[in-house]
Formats: sequence, C-alpha cells, structure tokens
Amino acid sequence: MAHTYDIETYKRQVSAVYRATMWLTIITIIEVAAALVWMYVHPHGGGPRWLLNSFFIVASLLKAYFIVGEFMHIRYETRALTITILAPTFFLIWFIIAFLWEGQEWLNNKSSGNIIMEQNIAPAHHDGHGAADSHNNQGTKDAGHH
Amino acid sequence: MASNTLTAEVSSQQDWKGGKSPFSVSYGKLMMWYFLVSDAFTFSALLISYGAIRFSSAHWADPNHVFNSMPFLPGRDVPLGFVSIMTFILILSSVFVVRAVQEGHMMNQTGVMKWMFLGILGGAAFLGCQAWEWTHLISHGTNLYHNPHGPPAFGQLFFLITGFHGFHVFSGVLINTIIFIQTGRGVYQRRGHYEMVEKVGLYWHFVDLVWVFVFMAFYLL
Repeated sequence: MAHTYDIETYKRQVSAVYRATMWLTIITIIEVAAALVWMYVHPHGGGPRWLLNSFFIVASLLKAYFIVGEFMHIRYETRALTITILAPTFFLIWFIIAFLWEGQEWLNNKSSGNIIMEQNIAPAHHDGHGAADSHNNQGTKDAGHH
Repeated sequence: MASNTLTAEVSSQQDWKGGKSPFSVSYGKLMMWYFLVSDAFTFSALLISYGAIRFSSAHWADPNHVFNSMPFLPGRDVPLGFVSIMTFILILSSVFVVRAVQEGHMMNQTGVMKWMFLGILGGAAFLGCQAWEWTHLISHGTNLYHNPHGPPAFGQLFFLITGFHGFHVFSGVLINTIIFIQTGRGVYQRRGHYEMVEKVGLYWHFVDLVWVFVFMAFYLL
C-alpha cells in the first residue's frame, strides 16, 4: 500500500502506460481498417462474417486487457484482489450464450409463424366469448396455432 | 530461492490472519472496484439485450452506412471516421488520468493538476462529439420510434446504451472536476497521499473500458 513511488518505479510505470496506449491505438486502427476493407470487398454483405466478428471480439478483449491491466493497475494488485474482481465476469459467458440463443429462437418462432406472444393471444378478447374464456388462453393458445 | 518461497508462503498465510487488508488496498479503493464490477454487469445486461434483440431481427442496420458523417464535411461519405476520433479522444483522456495518478504517487501537485485538466478536457470533448452524433442521427430521422436505416430497435438500443454510457462520462467529468479543484486547494498534499485521484481514476478507466465494448457492438459487429 505504498503511496509514493521511487524514481525507478515511476519511470517504469510511465513507460508501461505509454506502451499500453500505443497498443490500444494500433488495435483500434486495425479494427477500423478491417471493417472498412471488409465493406469494400463485400459491399452488399456476405462473406464469412463470423471470421471478422471473431476478430473484433478478440481485439476488444485485448484492449480490455490493456485498460484493466495497465490503466486500472490490476496487474500490480495482489492475486486475491484480481480473482475477486475478474472471477464474477466469467458468468457473462453463460449470460451471452443463453441470450443470443434465445434471440435466435425468437427469430425462428417469428419466421415459422409460431409466435407465442401477446399479439396472438389478444384477438381472443374480440371473439365475444366473454371474460371467463380469458382464463383458458394459457392452455389453448398452443393448440390453436398448430 | 527456497527461503524466498518460504517467506512468500508465510506472508500469504498472514494475509488472511486479520489485522490488515488481505488485498492490500484501502477500503475505499476496494469498494470502488466492487461498484465497478456491479456496473460492468449493468452494462453487460444492456449489451446482451442488444445482442438478443439483434439476433431476433431478420434485418439490422449497417453501421458503415449509419455512421458515415463528419462535422465540417457535409455530404461526404466517411464510414466510421467520426467514431474513430471519439474513441481515440476517450483513450487519450484515460491516459491523461493515469498520468495524473502517477504524478500523485510522486506527490507532485502541479503534475496532478495538469494531467487531470487534460483528462477533463478529453471527457468534455467526447461528450461534445456524442452530442453532435446524436443531433445528426435525430435530424436524419433516427429516433426512438423510427429508423430509416433498419428496425426501430436499432435506434432505441443505440440511444439507450450510448446515453447510459454518456451519462457515465458526464458524471466522470463532474467527479474529475471536483478532484481537480480539491487538488488545487492542496487537500491531498496535506493529507499526505493522492488516493482519491486513484479511485476516480478507476472509474474513469472503466468508462473507457465500457466504450470499447459499446464501440464493438454498435459500430463494428
């Protein structure tokens, strides 16, 4: 918890920060260049887009490493502190996979016409079956669409 | 070598025996870190909702066509040009604040003030750029209800997420300004350390970190 640096530490830290700045700049330039080159090669979409996207994700994680490690100084903190901060973020892996999967499923439901959402239940109220029928919506809506 | 390993083991056991912080950081800094972890989850939730809604849409807006305008260059097609400048401004601003933290470790009051001032300028410049970009998009028809480039959800998510990030930048600029004034009044010099600069520095770098992923989600992917 030393609050002051000696002159050697100071010099080392300053040059480490400028190195990290250089990397952040280079990675950002490459990212933008890749996006632009891709746009000129495939002006109407197409091509193995997943390849470009994987590159963007890896490059962003690399930038995050420089910001968290060097600027936020976590490379120089104790191991226990690093773990307590970084370990919870691994839950995001599940979070991302689950919700992108879910989004894909919504799209499949929309395109196959099997939307199980309010707008499909709503017309039941206009059929004149009365209020009692609305309790059955949960049970009957699936059968109604098949 | 053997004795080094031994002392390392002994000290790591003693870390957890009480009487000192096992993370060897102050309470305030640790709590700033935990706040940032929770804030990271808030932003993750927003960006993952963006992902889910985008995956559920058959069409999406092409960022190279939505974000292709530059101030002072009306009508020119400069895909991703302006946002690259914004990104670079925010990175530089973050670097300035790291330099302020380092000068704080050297107890150099004028150094802290100089770099903090540059950091504040960078943050304000970023906010100015964002204001221009929002105005441009809104005046060209992208708002919370309509989007000429694709589904309205694109505009809604764009304004929600960049707005929430911009609000973080705005509060960061305010907090940095308070720290700048306190430094000028010699508060931290008298206190004997510049840890407050470190704590707000962490927040400021986090804002930069979030921008990396907002930039990726809205402008690149």
